[in-house]
Amino acid sequence: MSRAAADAWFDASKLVSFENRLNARFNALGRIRYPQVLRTHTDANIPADGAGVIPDALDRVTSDNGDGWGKISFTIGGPWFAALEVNNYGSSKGQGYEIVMYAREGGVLYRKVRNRGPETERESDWVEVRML
Amino acid sequence: MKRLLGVLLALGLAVTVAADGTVVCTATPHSTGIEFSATPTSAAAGLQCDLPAAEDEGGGVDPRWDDLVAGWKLDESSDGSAPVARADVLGVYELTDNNTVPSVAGKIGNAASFTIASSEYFSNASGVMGADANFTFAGWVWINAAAGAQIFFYQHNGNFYLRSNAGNLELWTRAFADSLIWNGGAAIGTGAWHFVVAWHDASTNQLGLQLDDGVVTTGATGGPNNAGTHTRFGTYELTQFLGGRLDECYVFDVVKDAAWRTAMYNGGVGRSYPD
Repeated sequence: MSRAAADAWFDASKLVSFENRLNARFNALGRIRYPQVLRTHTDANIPADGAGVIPDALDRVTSDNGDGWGKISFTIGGPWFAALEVNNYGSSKGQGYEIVMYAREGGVLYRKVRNRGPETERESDWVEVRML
Repeated sequence: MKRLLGVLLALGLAVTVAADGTVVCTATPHSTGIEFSATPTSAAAGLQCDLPAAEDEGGGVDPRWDDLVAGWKLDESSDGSAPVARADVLGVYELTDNNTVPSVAGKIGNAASFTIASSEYFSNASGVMGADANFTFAGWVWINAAAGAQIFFYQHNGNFYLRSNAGNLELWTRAFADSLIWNGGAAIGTGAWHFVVAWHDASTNQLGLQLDDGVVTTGATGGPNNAGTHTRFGTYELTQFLGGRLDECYVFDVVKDAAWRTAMYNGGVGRSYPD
C-alpha cells in the first residue's frame, strides 16, 4: 500500500523532471560530480502505510561540498509519499547516481533504487531495509 | 590470473593483453628494455611467465602477503569535491567512491575520512570473500565518536560485519539459520588509529577478533549463509555510516597466525603492501 502509493506519486513524469534537474546541476558543477541529496525526511517522519508526509529535512547539506536539496531547484508540492535521497558515485567505469525512495509499511522500511550510470547492479525494486 | 596481473601491476610492471591473448609484461622502474611475454596454454594453466622473485628471494613482495585477495592502501588524494575510486593493490576489487569520501593524512600515506551526516562510503559489486571460507581482514580504523553503530567493513550475504558499536569492536555473521552472531567487545577508543584483525576459520566455525595486537576474542558461528555479493566500507546498506577513518585494509583467504598479526601491527607502525 505504501509502496504503491509512492510509485504512483513519484511517477515517470516526476522522475524525468527530477533527472533533468540533477543533470543540470551536474553540468553546473563542471561535471566533476553528480549532486548528492541527503534523505528528505528524518527517520521518524518517513511516509508510512500510504499516508503522505511533508518533508522535514530538506535543509540538510553535506559537510564536505555543501550539496543538498536546495541546490537542485526542484519543487514538489503537497505531502510526499516517499522520502527521497540521491547518492552520487564514481569509479574507473565512470560517474553515476542513484535515486532512492524510502517508504515504511507495517513498520518495515523499504527502499527502491533507480540507477543512472555504469553500475547497473544498483537498480532494484522495493526491498526491505534490514537492520543488524 | 587476475591476482597475478595485480601483482605485476603492483610491482610497477606494465601489463598489456594483445588481441590474440598474449600477455606482455614490461619492467620499467628498476630496469629498462626488459620485456617478456607469455600465451596462456589453457584456462587451467593460466598465464605462463617468470615472476619476479619474492622479497626473501631478492624481489619486492614480502611472504607475509601470501594469500592476499584484495588490499586497499587508500592513499588516493581527494578533497571531497568529486568521486575518487580507491585502487586494489592487486587490481581486481577497485572501490567505487560514493558521495565523495575525502582523504586525510593516514597511518601510512593518506587515509579515507568518512562523515556520517554525508552518507559517505566505498563499494564494490563483488564479494571479496567466499561464503563459508577462511578469511583474515586486517586494517587500521579510527572512530571520531563512540556513539551508535558504525560499519568498517561489510560483505553482503557472506554476511560479515565488522563494526564499532557504542565504541566496542564487533564482528558479526549472519548464520544459516539467519541468526546474527557477534563476537568482540574490546573498546576501540576515539580519535586515534587502531589496528584491527578479524578472521573466520571455516574448519572450526570460529570468528576471531583482535585489537592492536592485544587479547584475542573468539566466538562460534554456524557459518555464513551465502556467497558474498557485494562489499562495502563505511556503511551497512545505507545505514550505520562510519564517522571516522580507514587505512591500509587487506583481505586474505586464509586464517593468519599470531606471529603474522604481530608482524603486521609492527609495534604500532603498521605495514603497507608489499612491505
